[in-house]
Amino acid sequence: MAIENNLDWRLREERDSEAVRSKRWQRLPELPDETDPQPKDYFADQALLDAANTALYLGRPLLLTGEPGSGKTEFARHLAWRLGLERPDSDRAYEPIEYALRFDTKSESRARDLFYTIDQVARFQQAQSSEGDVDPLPFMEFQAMGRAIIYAARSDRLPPSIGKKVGHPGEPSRSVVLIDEIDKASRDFPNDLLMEIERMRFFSPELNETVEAEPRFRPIVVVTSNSEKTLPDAFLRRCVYYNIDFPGAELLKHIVAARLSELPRGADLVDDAVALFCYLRGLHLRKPPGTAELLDFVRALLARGLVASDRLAHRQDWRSEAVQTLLKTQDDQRTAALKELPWEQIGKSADSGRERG
Amino acid sequence: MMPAEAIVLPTSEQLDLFFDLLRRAEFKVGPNEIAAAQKILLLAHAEADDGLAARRLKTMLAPIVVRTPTQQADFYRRFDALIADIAPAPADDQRMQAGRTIGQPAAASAAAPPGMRSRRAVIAAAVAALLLTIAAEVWLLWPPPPQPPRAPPSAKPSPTIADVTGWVDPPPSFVTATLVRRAGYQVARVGAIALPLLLFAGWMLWRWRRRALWLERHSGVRKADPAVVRLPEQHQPLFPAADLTAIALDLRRHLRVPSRDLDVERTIPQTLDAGGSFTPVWQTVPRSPNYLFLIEKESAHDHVAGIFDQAVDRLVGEDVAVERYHFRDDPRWLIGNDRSRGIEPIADVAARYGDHRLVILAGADGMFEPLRDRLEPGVEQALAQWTPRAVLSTKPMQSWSWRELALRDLGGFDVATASHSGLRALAARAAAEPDRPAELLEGVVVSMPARPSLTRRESGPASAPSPRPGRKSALLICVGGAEDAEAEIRRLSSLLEHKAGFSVQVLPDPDRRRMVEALEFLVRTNYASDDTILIHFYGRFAPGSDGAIFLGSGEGLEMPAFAGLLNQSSAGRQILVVDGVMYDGALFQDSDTSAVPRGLAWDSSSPSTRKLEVVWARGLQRPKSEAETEVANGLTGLLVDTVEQDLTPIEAAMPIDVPFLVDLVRKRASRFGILDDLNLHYFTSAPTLEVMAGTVPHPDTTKMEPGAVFISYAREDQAAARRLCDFLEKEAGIDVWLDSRQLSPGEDWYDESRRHIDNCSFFIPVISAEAVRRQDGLFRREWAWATERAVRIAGAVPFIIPVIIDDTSANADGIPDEFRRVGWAQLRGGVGDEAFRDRMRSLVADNLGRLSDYPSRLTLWIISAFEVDQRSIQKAFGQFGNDWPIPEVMWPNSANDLVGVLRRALEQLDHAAGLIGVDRFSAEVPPVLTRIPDDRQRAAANIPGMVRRLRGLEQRHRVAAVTSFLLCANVKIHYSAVYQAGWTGLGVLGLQAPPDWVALLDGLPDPVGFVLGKRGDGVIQVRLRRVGGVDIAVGDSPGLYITVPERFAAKITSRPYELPLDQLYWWAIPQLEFAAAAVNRLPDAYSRDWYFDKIGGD
Repeated sequence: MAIENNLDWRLREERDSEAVRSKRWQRLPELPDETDPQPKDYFADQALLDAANTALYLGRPLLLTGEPGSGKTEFARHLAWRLGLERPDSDRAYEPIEYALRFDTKSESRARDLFYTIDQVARFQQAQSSEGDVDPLPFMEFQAMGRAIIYAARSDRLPPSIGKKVGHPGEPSRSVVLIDEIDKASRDFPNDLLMEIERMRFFSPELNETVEAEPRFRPIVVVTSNSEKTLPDAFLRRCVYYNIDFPGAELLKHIVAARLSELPRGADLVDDAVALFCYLRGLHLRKPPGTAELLDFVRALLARGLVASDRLAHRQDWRSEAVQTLLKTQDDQRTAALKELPWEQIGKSADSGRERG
Repeated sequence: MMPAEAIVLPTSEQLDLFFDLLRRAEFKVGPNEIAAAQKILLLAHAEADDGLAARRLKTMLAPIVVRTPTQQADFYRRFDALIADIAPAPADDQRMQAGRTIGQPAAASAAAPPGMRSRRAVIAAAVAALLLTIAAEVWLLWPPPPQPPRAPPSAKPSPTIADVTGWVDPPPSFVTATLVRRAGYQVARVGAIALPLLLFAGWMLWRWRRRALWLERHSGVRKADPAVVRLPEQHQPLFPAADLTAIALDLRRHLRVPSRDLDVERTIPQTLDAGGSFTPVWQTVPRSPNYLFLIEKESAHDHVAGIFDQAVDRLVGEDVAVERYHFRDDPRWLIGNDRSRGIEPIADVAARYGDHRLVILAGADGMFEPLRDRLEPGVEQALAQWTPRAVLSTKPMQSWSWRELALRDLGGFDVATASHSGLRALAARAAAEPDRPAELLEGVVVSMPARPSLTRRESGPASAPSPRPGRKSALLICVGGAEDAEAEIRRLSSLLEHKAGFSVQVLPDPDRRRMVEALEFLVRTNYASDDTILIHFYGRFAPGSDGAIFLGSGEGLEMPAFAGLLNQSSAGRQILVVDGVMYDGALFQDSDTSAVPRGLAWDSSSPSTRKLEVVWARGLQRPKSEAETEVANGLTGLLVDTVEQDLTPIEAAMPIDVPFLVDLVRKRASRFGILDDLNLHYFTSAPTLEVMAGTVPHPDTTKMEPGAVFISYAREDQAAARRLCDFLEKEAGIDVWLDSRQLSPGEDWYDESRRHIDNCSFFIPVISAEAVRRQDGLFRREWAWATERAVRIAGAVPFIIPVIIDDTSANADGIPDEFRRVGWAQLRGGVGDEAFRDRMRSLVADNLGRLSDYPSRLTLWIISAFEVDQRSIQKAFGQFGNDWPIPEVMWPNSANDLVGVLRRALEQLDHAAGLIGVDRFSAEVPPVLTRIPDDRQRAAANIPGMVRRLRGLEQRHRVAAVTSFLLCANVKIHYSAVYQAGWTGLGVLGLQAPPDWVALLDGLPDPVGFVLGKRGDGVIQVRLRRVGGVDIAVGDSPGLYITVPERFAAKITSRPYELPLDQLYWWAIPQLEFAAAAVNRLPDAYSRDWYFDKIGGD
C-alpha cells in the first residue's frame, strides 16, 4: 500500500476543484482493522506464558492486570489461538472466527449476567398475550460463561433446545472465556462468581435446569482488571495472577512490525518512533500514551508521507501528529514541549536498543 | 542470563522454607498456595533435564502467591536470591545433584532477620566461652608438670658449710617464692576458668547497655508497638479486634439498589391490579458498599495516620471494600498507594470512585478558610460529588466547636471522632439509614468555644524577672513535621538564642534514639535552682492520664512518665511546650476522657507540676482547637517577657549580632517572595484601575459597641435622659443608645429596642416618680426585657444600673425587684457627677475586659491609598494556602474613610488591650474607651484625640500600643504570619500617602510616626519627611511600618535618611513580636450565639 503516492484525499485550506471533491471518500486510506488484530500477531513474553501454564496446570482462572494498552484482552484471544480453540473451527471460514468467548463487564453487571440474560419484560408480555406456559428459552441470551459451559457439557445431559440455541457441536468442547475489566463491576460480582467458577456449572431458575461442564472440558477463564479497585481477597486467592508490565522498546518494535505490515522490521522510522514514545512515557505524564497511541502515531507518520528509512530528527513536519496522537491532555503537551526533544538522548537509546536486539 | 545448566531447582523443603519467608513478608500464602507450588515444583523436576523448566520456575510460581504488581517484582527478587543461594559453588561438578538432593535451610539463613542473626551470634559466643572454660579447666586439672629436679639444700650437704655452721636456715626468699607461686597458680587457675565466662558476661552487658536507653530503663516504659497500639496504663488496645470485626460487618452491610430486572412476583399482582395493563415492578438488588478513605498524613512519621492505616488494613482484611488515599493538609491533592501515579487531583479520584462512600480522616480545621468561617470553597466543590460522606475528626470531642457543626450543616458531613468509637458510630450509621441528613454521630458538641481565659498567673517565674538570670537551655524537637514546621523551629531557635539568651539544641526530625538521648541529657544535667530548661516539642502527641504526655517519635508513642521525669531535673524552672499543631487527642479519648489536660499549665498548685510548666502551644501553622487556645500561648509569653526586658534598655548600647540579623532577613525574604510579587503587581496596576467608589466597608452603625449603655426612660423623663446621655458620652466617653435619638422614624421600635437591650453592656433605667406612677408604658416592656436578660448574666457582673432623677425611694411600688438588688445612683435631673462618671468608666473598662458577647475577628486589612483590584489580591493570597486570610482591602479615599478604618482598628486595639491588659498592662495601658461618634463630619477632628490617647501612654508601652494599632489596622493578625512574612509581612501593601492624608496628619500636635521602609541590600532606605509634626514618607515604595523612636526623631530631616539595618531591626523586631504576642491573644473562636445566629437554628 503506497500511501505516500496517494495523498490527494487530504483536506486542504484552499478550495477543492470539483474533480478532487467528487468521490474523494473512495480515495481515503484504508482503515486499519482496529478492533480485531490477528491473535497470531500477539507477542507474549515467556513470563506471561508461564503464568498461563500455571493457570492451565492448576485449572484456575488467570487474572491479568496491567496498564491500559498492555495487551491483557488480546492475550485471551492469543491463548485461544495457541490452544486451537477458535470457534467455529477454522475450516468453516464463512463465519467470523471467535477465539475467546468474551464478556464485557459493566458497572451494573451481576453474576448471573455472566451466564445468561433474560428479557423478562418481553417474556411477561408474551405470557399475557398467549395461553399457557411460555417457554422462557427464546427470551434468554446465553453469555460467554454460559455458552462455554454449555459447549463443555455432554449433549446427552443437556436439553436439546439449549444445545441448539447456542450451536452445541454435539461433542463437548473447551473454550477460553474472557471476563474483561472485572473491576468495573461492583465488588459483589467477583465474590458471587467464586462458586460458579470453581464448579463450572450454573442453574437457571427460569428453565429449572442445571448445566454443568464436563471436567475434562472445563472452560479456561481469563480475567482482566485495570487494578482500579482492589479485588476481594477471596477472589484473588482462587486466581492465578500476572501483572503485564508495559512492553519494553524491543517488544514495542515487534508489535509495530507485526501490526503494520508495510513497515519492515528494523526500520529507522520505527526505532525513532519507539524511542520517542519511550522517552515520553518516562516523563511522568498525566496520561502516558499506550500501545494503541504508538500505532496511531506511526500510522499518522506514514500518512504524512514519511517512509521507513526516515529519521524523525531530520524532519520537522510530524510534530502535530505526535501531539495529536501521543499526548492527550494539554498539560502533557506542555510538559513534553516537543520543540526541545533531547534527540541525542533518544537516538542513543534507539541505537542501544538496536544493538541489543 | 544464567546458562541453563547452572540453574538449580530447590527441593520441596527449601520451597517450604521460602514460602515461610514469604508469609512473613506479608504475602498471602496458605495451604492451597503451598500445595499448588509443590505441584509446580514437581512439574519442574519432571522436566528438569532441559534446564528450561528450571528457569521458568520463577515465573510459574509467582502467579500463585502474587496479588499485586509490587508483590510480583518482590517475588522475583526474592526468588532470584533463593536460587543464587542454593546454587553450589561453580567449581562443584555435582552441583545440580547436590542442589537437588541436599536440603540445606540455606534460604532461611540468607534472609534471616537481623534479630535472628544476632541471637545466633550470642549463642555462638556463649558456646565459645563455655568451650574455653572447659579447655582451661582440663588444662589446669592435668597433673602439673613435674617440678624440675631440684635438690633441696639439705639433700645436698655441703660438708664445708654445714660443718662450719652446724645448721642452715632456709633463705627467706625461698618461702615467699613458694607461697607466691602457689597463690599465683591458684589465681591463674581460677582466672583461666572464669575469664571466658567473665568476658562473655561483659560482652552481654555491653550489648544490653547499648540497646537500652537510660530513659527507658528508668521510666518503666513499654515501647508502643504500632501494630497493637495501646496506652501503657491501659491494656485495652485502641482498636479491639472483636469490635473491628463488628464494625466491618456493619460497613459491609448490603444496600439495596434498583436494577433493570423485572420482579416477576410483584409484577403479576400489580398488573392484575392495573386491569391487565402491563405494570412492571423492578427488582432491587443488594450491593455491598465501597468506601473511599482520605487520610490526612502529615509526614511519613505520622503515627496517627499510621495507626489508622492499620485499622483500615484490618477492615480490608475483613473484606470491606476500601480504597485509600493520603493527603497533606489539602484534600484536593491525594497520594495513593500506587506511587507511580504520584499526586493525583481529587477530580481523577472522583472519576474512579465517585460511587464510593467518602470518609475523611483529618482535623476539621484544614477544611476551613481561616477567618472566613466557611468551608474552603475548593474543598467543598471537590467533595460535593460524594453524597454519603463523613469526617472523622482527629480532635477529641471536648475540643469540638462550631467547625464540626458547620461541617454538618454547611458541608453535609457526618462527623465523628477519629477513634475506635467514631468508627463504630460511622459503621452503625452506614448500616442503618444512609439517606438521613448529615449528623454528628457521636454525642453533641459538648463545649462551645469559651473565651480565652483572661486571668494570667499574677506572679510566677514567667513574669518575675529574676535578679540574676540563670542558665537557660532549650531543646527544640520537631518530629516529622512539614518543612515549614522545621523552619518554624529554626526560627524559634534563633529567637531563643539571640533574644532570650538560651543555649539551644535543635533536633529536626530525629529518630527515636536521638530524641530520647537528648531529652535524657537535658534532664540529667545539673542545673541550679535559678536555671531554666525549655523543651519545645512539635509533633504528634497525646495526653494520658495523670498529666502524662505521650510524645510521638514517629515510631510510636513514648514516654508517658516524661512529665514526672522532667520534674526530677534540678533546674528550677522547667517548661515543656507541646506544640498543638498535630494534637491528636481524638484517638485516645476513648481511653481516658478525663485525661485531656486542659489548663494544666496554670495549675501551679498541683504537686506534680510544681516546677514544670506544660504549655500547650497554639498551632503556629493554623488556628487550632479552642481547648488549646484556652491556655495561653506560653511560648509567646516567654517572648513577651523577653521583649519587655528588651524594650526598656533600648537606649543603652547593646551588642548586636549583625550577621545573624542579616541572615534572618535573607531567610525570611527568600521564604516569602509573594509580597514582592504582590507589591509589584499592585503598584504597577493600581493607578489604572477603575475607581470603585463607596465600596469601603463602613463600620456597622446598627451594632452595639462593647461597653455601650442602653438608657430606658419614661416619656416624661425625656429631658433628664438626654442630659444623662450627653453626660455619659461627653464626660465618660461611653457609647449610649437612646431611642429618641438613634431611632429614625419608621424604624420598628420593638425590634430595635429588643435587639439593643440584648446587645448592650449596661442597662440604665431612669427612675422617677412619674415612671413609678405609670403602670403601663413602653419603658416597662424594656425593663422586663432587661430583667430577663439580667437573669442570664452571671450574678457578679453588674448589668442594670438604675438612676433615680428625683426623690423617689428605691422601695417605691412599681419598681421591679431586680432593680432593688443592685447599686443605685442618684442623679438629680439626670445631671451626672464625678463619682458616677468614674464608676461607669470602671464598669465599662471591666466590661471591655470581659467582652462576653463581642465576636472578635482577626482581620487582615490592607489599607491602601489607591483602588486595588480586590480579586487579584484575593487570588494572590488564596494561592498561598490556608495560612493566610483573604484580606479585606480598603482604600480610604477621604479622611472620613480613613477614620472609619482607624476606628475599626481602634476597636481591635481596645479588644487586645482588654484582653492583655487585665492584670499585666491595665496599670499602664488604660483601655481606650471613647469611641469616635458615627458622625462623619466630626470624624477628622477625632484623629488628634486618638493620637493623644495613645500619646498619653508611657513611652515604652506606647511603642507597643502603637505597633499593635498598626498591626490591627493593617496586617493579618496571626502569629505565624508575622513570622512567616518576616518583617516584610508587616509591610502593608503600600501607603502612599495621598495629599488628603498628609493634610489630615499635618494638623496633629505630636508625631506618631509612620515610617515607610523599603528593603534594600543591608540597608533600609527610609525617606522621611516631616509634615507638621508627623514623620511620613511620601511617594516611596511599600514596606514596613513602624513607629519612630525618640532617638531617631532627632535625626529626621526632609532628606533621605539611611537607617542602618541592624539598628532598625534591633529596635523593630521586639516590637513586632510584642505586638504579635499581644494580638495573638485575640480569640479565633466564636460564641455560641454567634454560631446559631449564623446557622439560623438553635
